Amino acid sequence: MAEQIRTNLVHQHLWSDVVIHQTKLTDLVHGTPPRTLHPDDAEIRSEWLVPARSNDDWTIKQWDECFREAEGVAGKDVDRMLMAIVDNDSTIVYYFVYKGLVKPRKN
Amino acid sequence: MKKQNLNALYPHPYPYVVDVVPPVIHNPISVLYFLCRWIFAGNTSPEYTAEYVDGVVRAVGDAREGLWKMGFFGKGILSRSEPSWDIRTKRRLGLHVEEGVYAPEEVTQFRREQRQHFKAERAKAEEEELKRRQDIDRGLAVADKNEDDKPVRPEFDRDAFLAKSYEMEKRTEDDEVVDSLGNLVDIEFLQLMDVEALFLHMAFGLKVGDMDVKAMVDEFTRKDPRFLTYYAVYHHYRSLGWCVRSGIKFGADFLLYKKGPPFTHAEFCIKVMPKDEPMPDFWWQSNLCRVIGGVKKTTVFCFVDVPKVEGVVDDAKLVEVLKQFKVREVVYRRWIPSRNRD
Repeated sequence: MAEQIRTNLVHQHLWSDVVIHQTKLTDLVHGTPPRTLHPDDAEIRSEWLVPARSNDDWTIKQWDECFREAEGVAGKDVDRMLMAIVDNDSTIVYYFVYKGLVKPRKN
Repeated sequence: MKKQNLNALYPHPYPYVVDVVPPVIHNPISVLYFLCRWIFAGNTSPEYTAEYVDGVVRAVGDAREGLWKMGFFGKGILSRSEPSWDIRTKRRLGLHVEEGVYAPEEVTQFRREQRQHFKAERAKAEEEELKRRQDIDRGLAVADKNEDDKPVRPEFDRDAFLAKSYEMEKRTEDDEVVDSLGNLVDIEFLQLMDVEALFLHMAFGLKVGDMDVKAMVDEFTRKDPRFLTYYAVYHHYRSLGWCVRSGIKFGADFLLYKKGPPFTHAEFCIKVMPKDEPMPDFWWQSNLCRVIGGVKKTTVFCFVDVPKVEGVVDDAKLVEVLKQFKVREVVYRRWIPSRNRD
């Protein structure tokens, strides 16, 4: 599944330096998008992704563990990750998951 | 650019070709002609194959183009729907692309840019008009004839626009897809949903590796225990003539298109609710409907009575099992008092 996400990021969304990290909990994908992903981002930042399937059930505890795993590999604080949800028709949808509360964007 | 005739481009709603015999009129030759055509009518319907690799069904050979064009089955793994990665990538890497050929994604990108430009121009024009009127009120200007200077949709050069939007350095990753002769290696394939594979196998004889109905049901159910329930819903709408595609983009299970994605937007989002499973609470439903309402589609909750399935499900049994499923729809619509008075 992580390999499928890597192919999608590299060849459909034109990300660079996409690497799969195996942790004891799950595979994590790390890479850099060609432009900023969020309007509030000052500059392009590299992102951490967690592979998931559309029929998975997720708990807050699992997310906490994912953040900890990513921080272990990165060696620094990770404040947001992307949940990459793979569907049976090959669609992958990406959602931001933040650690803690984030001030909503002004409209 | 001239508008394509979509009906001529996609004449077949399913991967099946109906051979039309000529009419018989009071003329012996027409009878003879009819008989010849009838006797020698071959089966002109395509025989497509697919394979099952790494847990997904891939269309093989002609099926990649055929299954998309005849019924809009499957999805290109690197595209929004129809496989078009090769066109986009060739243009981006400066390789040869046939003139006038654009990927649907490029057309969308182009239209969005055009609209944004139009809106900016319109805002500018409105501001100027406001200023002019204020000047007239203050006696600084005279009201002159009403000029026809409404902003018009700008004509852009598509190729120039796309060249600019693809302006990024060639990445080392791109070497993976270009061979030693400088040609693009097309790494994209058409992936079929498991429900599509079983439907095409049952109804149109699609070969999926050497799997039969039993092997497919076993394997797909192993991956998703509710496979048969989703299959029953998929089969229900497909057999009623809808084009059914994945609804994950909007948090639903399926999208229903009247004819297919090139013709119109999807009208309905289907959320499957197996009857014996606990109903999600109202807040969950409300969230889903706001998302779907935001893209101007109608939410359909599809309640399914799931029979108890025992033993092997093979070719003959599957039909029996499907007959025992019951599908009922409930449409959910948000009602806004101030906007629903007439």
